[in-house]
Amino acid sequence: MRARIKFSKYDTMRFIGHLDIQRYFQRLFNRANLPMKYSEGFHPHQILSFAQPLSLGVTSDGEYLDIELTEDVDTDEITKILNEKASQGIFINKTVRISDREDNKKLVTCMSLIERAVYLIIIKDDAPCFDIKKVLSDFLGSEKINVIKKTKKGEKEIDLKEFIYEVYDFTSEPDPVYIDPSAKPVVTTDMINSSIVHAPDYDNGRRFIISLAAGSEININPELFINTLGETMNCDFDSKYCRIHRMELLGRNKNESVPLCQIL
Amino acid sequence: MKETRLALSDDILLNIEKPARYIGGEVNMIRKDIKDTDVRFCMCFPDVYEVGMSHLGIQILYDMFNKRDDVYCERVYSPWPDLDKILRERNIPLFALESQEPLYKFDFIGITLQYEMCYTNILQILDLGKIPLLSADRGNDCPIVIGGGPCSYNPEPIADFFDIFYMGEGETMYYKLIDTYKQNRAMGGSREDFLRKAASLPGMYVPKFYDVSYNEDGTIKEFTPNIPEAPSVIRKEVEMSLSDTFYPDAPLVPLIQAVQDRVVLEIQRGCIRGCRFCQAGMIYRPIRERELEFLKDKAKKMLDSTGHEEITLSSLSSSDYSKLKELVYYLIDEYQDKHVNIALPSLRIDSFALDVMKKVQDVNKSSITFAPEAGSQRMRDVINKGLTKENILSGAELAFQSGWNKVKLYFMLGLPTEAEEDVKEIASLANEMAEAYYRIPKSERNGRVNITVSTSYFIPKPFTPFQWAGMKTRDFYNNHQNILSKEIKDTINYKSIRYIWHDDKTSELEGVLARGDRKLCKAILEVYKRGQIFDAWVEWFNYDIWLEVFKDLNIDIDFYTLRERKYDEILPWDFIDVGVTKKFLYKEYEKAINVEVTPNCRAKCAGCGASSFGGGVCFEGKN
Repeated sequence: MRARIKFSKYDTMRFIGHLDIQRYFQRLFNRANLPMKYSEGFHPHQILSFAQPLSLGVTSDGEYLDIELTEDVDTDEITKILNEKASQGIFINKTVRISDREDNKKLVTCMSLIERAVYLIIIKDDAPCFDIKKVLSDFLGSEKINVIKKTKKGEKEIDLKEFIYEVYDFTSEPDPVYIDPSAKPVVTTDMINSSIVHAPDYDNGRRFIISLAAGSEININPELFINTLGETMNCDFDSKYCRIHRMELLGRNKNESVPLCQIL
Repeated sequence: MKETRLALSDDILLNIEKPARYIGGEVNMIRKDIKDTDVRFCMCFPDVYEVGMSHLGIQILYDMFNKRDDVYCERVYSPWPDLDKILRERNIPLFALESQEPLYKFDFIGITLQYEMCYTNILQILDLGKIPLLSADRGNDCPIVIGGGPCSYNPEPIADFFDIFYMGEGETMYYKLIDTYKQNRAMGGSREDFLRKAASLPGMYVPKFYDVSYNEDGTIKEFTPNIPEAPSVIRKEVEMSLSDTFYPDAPLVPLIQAVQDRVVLEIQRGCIRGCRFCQAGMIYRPIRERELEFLKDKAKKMLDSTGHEEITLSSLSSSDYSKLKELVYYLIDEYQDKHVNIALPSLRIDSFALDVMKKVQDVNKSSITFAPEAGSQRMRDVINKGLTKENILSGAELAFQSGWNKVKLYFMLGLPTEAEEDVKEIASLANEMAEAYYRIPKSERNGRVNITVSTSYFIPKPFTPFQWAGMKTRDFYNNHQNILSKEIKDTINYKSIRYIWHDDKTSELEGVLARGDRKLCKAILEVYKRGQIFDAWVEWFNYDIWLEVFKDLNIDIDFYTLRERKYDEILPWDFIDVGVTKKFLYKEYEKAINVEVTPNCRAKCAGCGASSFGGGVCFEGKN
């Protein structure tokens, strides 16, 4: 059977890079004694597929990975046993069964589904003082936000605004600052409540939520948003004054953007 | 949510290499509340995290200490130069991984001494941990700095930096030391009181309770205790019941890749071989095996608790473990289907070894290793390496027939009595091995053979028969290296043979430190003060600083390296009793010079003295 695991990466695990997280999960599955499926060949490895790497220093309540098992196991049982064996900094939120491998059909992995990511940006206590709501509205009020984006092939200029879907000031409660008229909002109260559980807290309480394009076609790093905001608004603000927490990864299901665990 | 308080800010951690080195939180890390414990012990491996985390000894001691509710044992490793710089600039004290608290707050700092080239790193750790570098400068509030491990068998070059050295295996005496510490504290005793009590415990050496005086030629005149509690001879401690002692069920699993990233099963301690250059072979005598059932049980528990996908057997010479076949076939039967790889280092190549290796390795990718250590039979007899050319070539042929085509050959240059002819035979051995490969019909062999010859510079070590021998000069070593290099180029199969060698400068310095005395403490301190750390790393080692300091302090390197010692000279480590007697070592030295071999412990007892421990191989079949 195939299963999709939604997990949180938090606390000191934010300093563990993607390759090491892959190795961490391999060992976690071994400790949990799950009947993992292995690849063929002389050096067989567990068949794992992660949705998207998380930058060093970033925490998350919305990470995904797909696994394959040689026999059926109850998904709640998987969640339970993994949480018993996981160490501090990794928490399994849920496990869902997803469609099996079919011959002649391309395998749909969590990675291929991604089109959006939602982030909570938490402003540190030593950041300069400014009206976050006003700065965000002014920034998003401009017609275009031209930025140079580094890609594997080099640099290219894009209009950042095309790839920003939703922005909320979340200093007290979620307060919409910007919603792309062409896209249906996905950030709901339910989503917020379940996806900031492991986010860091700072005394000043200033934070905001952004929903950005993600995935293999175009991926907007939240740091690009933050740094462009700082530069454009001239407010001595950049990513070093922030902690970033990924709340959710979403993919397209029919005409809606939904969390990856809802695409089965 | 509330996050773990780390000693370093995100800003620092995200701007250095591998922040995971400094955050702790590994799988199976022990968490305790400091308020609930009485004694804080910080285990230290004075090298970078990935190296230190690979060390079995710390895993054993970490587990052992933390089994006591009244002790919290934590860990610290050397901060890499990038963080070192930041800690100094911002005056951040070095901290232990578990509690993230500064080292100066601990009761004990326990430093494992695995190789001489880590000595400046010891000072780095103490300095950054805000602990006075010299034992003499430490007050009642400072931690007790204790050293152990192979280099403590000549602790003198670093004696000034340590309060105590422990000679022996950790399992036997540390609980007693902790109890003594607690008692002393409960009675309001001072640091001095504790050290006096410690000095009277078996295996404990407190350098400050011993005075050394020197002859005019620089050799030791007298080495004597200066308090009645300190014994004049310190006998090493050994754990005689290895199947009924501490061994972790749940070793730490690092979150980043360590050098040794697998379950380690120590099958035995000691070695029966008696190679005359090998310190481990002498100081860990007598050989003691762990029982098969103990090992099977530990293998299961450790694999279950770590999730590792590889298990390795650890010992000085695995082939000498009497139940090796049973153990290895058990591990293969039990774990191969569960995707656990089995690694078998230090295995003599024979049909059994090849059968096992074929089952657990990819023949196309792995290589076969031989350590003849010397090229000629004469030279191998001098060093008592009981391996003949026929053994090596027939082992290689078997391997070639089974499909292997990569071989690694390890040798030493600069051995006592070594002549050009001995060195040239290294080349002919490699060439004959290649010939053996090409005798296999082309259709049956696997492309070209790939033989790597590697040589290191022989360093005489304490407690070996060569402890009296002069180390060869760098010119001698380099000359022999050139001869070998040329000789290899002149062989018929030179295209199949690759030659790599060790740096002569690092080895020379290691030679100084290995057989050094207390006079070197000042030099090591000065080298550290001039900015030197991580000498074990080629990219950080700075030979010139060492030379400069030796010159400034009037220290003659040759006195320590090149000088042939006389039998009646008092050697800096003579006060240590490792079981193996000085008389036996000297007899072995004489036999070496006369090219006489000594059979291994199982073939015939050579009367080395280790039987005084009352167990192990010395009594096999006698009870």
